[in-house]
Amino acid sequence: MKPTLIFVLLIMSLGLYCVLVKDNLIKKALGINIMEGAVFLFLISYGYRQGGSPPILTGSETNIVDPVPQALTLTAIVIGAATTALMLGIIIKIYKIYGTLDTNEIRRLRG
Amino acid sequence: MNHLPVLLIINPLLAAFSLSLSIPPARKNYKIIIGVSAVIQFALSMAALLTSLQQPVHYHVGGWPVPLGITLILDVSSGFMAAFTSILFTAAVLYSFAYIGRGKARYYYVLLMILWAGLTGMVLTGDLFNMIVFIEIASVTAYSLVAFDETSFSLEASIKYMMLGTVGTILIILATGIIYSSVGSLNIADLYNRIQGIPEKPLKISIALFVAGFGVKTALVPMHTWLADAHSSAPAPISAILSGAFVKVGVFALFKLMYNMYGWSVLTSLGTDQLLINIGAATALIGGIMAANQADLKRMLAYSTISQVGLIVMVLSLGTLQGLTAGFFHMFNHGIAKGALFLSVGSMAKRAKTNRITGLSGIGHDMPLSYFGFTVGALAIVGIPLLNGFMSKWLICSNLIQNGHTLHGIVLIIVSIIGAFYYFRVLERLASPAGPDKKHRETSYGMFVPVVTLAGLCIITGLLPYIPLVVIERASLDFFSYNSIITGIIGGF
Amino acid sequence: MIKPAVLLALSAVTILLPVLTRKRILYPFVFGAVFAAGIFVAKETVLIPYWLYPFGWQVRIDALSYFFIVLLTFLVFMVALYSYAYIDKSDNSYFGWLGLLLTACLGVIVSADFLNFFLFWDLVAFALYLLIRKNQPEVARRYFIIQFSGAGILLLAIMLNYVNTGHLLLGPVSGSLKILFILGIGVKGAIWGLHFWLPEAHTKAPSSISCLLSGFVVKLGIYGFIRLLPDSNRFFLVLGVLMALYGVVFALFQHDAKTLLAYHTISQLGYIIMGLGSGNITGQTGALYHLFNHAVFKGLLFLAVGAVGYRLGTRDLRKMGYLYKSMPVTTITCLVAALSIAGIAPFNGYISKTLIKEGLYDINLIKNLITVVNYGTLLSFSKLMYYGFFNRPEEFKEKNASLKEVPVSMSAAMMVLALVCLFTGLMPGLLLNNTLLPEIPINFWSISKLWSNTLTLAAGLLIFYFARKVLRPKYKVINDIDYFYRLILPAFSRTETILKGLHTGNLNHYLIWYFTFLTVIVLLII
Repeated sequence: MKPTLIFVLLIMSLGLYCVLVKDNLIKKALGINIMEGAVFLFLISYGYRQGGSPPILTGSETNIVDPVPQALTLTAIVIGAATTALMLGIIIKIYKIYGTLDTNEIRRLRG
Repeated sequence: MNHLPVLLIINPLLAAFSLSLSIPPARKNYKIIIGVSAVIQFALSMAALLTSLQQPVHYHVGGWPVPLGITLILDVSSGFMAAFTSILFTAAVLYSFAYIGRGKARYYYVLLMILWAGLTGMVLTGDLFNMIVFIEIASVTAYSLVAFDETSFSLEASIKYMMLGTVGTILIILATGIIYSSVGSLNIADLYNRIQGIPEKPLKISIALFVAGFGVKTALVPMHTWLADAHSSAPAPISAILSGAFVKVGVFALFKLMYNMYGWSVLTSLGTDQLLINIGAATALIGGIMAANQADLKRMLAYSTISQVGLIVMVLSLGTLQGLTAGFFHMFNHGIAKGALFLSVGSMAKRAKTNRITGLSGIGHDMPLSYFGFTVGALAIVGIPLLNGFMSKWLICSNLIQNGHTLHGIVLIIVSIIGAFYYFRVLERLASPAGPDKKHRETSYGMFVPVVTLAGLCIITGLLPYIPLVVIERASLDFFSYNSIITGIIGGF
Repeated sequence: MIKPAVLLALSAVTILLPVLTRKRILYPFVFGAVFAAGIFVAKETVLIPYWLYPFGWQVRIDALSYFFIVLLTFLVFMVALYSYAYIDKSDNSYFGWLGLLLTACLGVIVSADFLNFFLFWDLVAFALYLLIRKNQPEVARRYFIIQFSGAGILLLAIMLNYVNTGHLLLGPVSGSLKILFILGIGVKGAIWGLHFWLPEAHTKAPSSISCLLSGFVVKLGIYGFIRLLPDSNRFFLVLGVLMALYGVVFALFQHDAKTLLAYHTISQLGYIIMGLGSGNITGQTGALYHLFNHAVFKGLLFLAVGAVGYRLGTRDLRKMGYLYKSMPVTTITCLVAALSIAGIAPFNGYISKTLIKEGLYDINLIKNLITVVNYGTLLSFSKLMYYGFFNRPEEFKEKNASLKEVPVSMSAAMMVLALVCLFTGLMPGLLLNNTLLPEIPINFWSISKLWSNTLTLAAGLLIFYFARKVLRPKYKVINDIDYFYRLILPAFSRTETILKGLHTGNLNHYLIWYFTFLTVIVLLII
């Protein structure tokens, strides 16, 4: 098992802990971001090639790391940023209306 | 006509971007821009369906050859789904002209067009990561549209939807990463050829992650908890689109991966098909039971959607060609009927200023056209003969029992009976004579055309099921034999 | 000869009647035209491919279907005539739904493939829902849900049969599926155990609809039994006896005229089922003939009681009486029908009951039970006629004696039905030979038979005279077996409440469910 996989699992479980256990909505959003970070790490780590150079077109590359996961990760980072922005915006509006960010209080819709 | 797939995606995006420019022509004439764009998109998707019936179109974005680039596949199944979403979207756009007030309307239409582009992209794409991108486009706009009204309920529903949905996307990206790291390609047809070689553990984990990830988008049990809140708090046309099209496209995407990337034999050997069919049964039952117990009409309709999606998943998990036909047919029927239901409830609730069933009692007398649309939609979903729901429920039950899943057939029957129970109760309540202290409410204006059109479509499909079925049979054939079609066009990788 | 497709198209036109014209006077004529088409329809088997293309419609009109078609179109024609005056002037959509009921019942009878059979079966229940819901939406909804559940069982049975036989054509079914089919068809046919909807639906529906319900719709269950379960004789015998006795006993103690009639329907259905189970041609002919006769005289009874209700405003036997003076036509036609159902010569009930008795000649126990049932029938109809029409309670004298007779359309329909009772009794060959039933070599008019018949009548009237006090209509709520079915209902609401409580609205809980599910799947798949 690759060594980075251990870190991925570690970070993922940290994020998972934040999302599941913390009651504050902003902490949950942070937890989701941490989980996304773990995924990015996972994606990039599998693109690594031993002794490879960055995937930049210079005209004389012999061994480059895999550029596809890097593209995937960039896209995923953008997606994550957009989602986080939207999440935080809605959380601000929720705070204005509910006055609290506790998930145990924000329960007007149930059943 | 070879550029048709890209045009289908670009057209609504162009409309959205041109509308979001803060220049006076955009601000004043947004209805014209959106109306024209919607009509063009509808025409394009019908043209796409007709083209795909003759021969499938295979489009390489940017000219990059397969398997390096992203491909858009327009075969009959994608064309059918694109046309079907266009019908719902056009009805919703027409309805929104009257429903959404002037204040924030521009932003609404921007988001709506991007949602349209996202959903169309989801069905057209042949590349795994591209599908994730389109899923995200559609989901993010859906999150915002659910929160559009900015009431406490809408925001709460939106944040719940967002959290659950984002976690789902994370799982899907993780699964894609696992697949790419094992195989080295992202094209769905290419993956089918190569997926035999990968070791077992990554394969199994990726299947589990895909099911869980897509499960949130399609509201399978126990990840369905967001749907009732979201669809009841969203504006009525958005509920119609989300219930009618979004969850169906999600199911379509999930099963596209299951059938065409892994191959159904892999899934059978792992027992995933049994898992999926049981999840479908549980979804159908839980959706039905929850729907029977609601006081809010839109929430009841949302749980009914969960129930019907469970039925669709049950029949699609059979792995047979007839199962696919029955599943797609029910997708179409339920989409049209649920669209009519949500739109009519929207106009009725707007007049009565409440969503609760007790508050809406008697409104059928004051708004006969909307009530007609509601009745046709409700009867169609219950499965009254001569409407479209009867035929698709018959086909689903037939397929389930023919393949040996008698217990799941019984689940379908039980769900139908529970459905009759709560739908008829609402029908009676809406048509009951209004009490003497209720104000007289006038009929709706301009919003009943889409409702009546969708209801009429239900009736026509019920009496002449040939019209959609002939397309759907071709669609399921193309879906089933996706890989051989692609190999036929490209000639191998 | 008229093609079947033409007949079906014509009956489909009746659905659109209220849309096509507002002149109500035209409606009975259209239904009469359907009746005429029904009599002259060609007995053939065709495949109509463009109905629900690509599934198609296998239409089969053989002797049995023709028999039912004649009965159906005749009965609907009479009901349409009656309803011209009976139904409120403002409610023309009733006739459209009546047309829907007609088309749906026709569809059930002529279908030879299970898809359309099931489709029209459901449509019959839906049409009745539409007809009953004007005045009694609760009852209509309950009726529809019960019928829909029965149809669900029928659907399951049809699908399993499809797996066994590989095709969807209507035909006899094999062993293990018989129970499912009996349950599915029995909900509509009101067999014992599944009959609990019948009294309520018949009592609360408008009388013209009760006439059709009792007269025809429950007979569709018998039709299903004939087509699908041709050799279940022992079962039918036991079921028939049970239903006959049960119906009569419950009917004796009712105070509402329509509930009395409804329980009698169960009883007479038991008769018919007994005849079906007799195993020989006499009994089966008697069963089918009794099916026709029962439709005619029970329909007439419901229409007559409806006429009384139309003028008097109530159907409660405690409040009726003196009507023989004020409504003579109604009284006479009702008397004819009561004599027919009791099996008194020369009316049609006598013929069919004699046939059934002859068919069961070798089982003495059943013959004795039939005699008991006959006496019970006589007693309850004496009660109906006496307390309903001939009694003279002082308190209701002015009100009841000063009523007018019912309008012409209603009395015309009733008189036609009464005449049919008489003629099919005097000349059984008219119907028996022309449809499917062979000539039965029984001398109905032998002196011994007529003498025993008159003795039965006299004995019954005598018993009624002495038992008058006991049989007086009193208000008493008699619980039928739906009491037991209702005990199950709380379990459903418990499930609902538990499930609703699980959806707490707390995002943490939802996320925990999600990840639990993910863990479970991963563990399952690996």
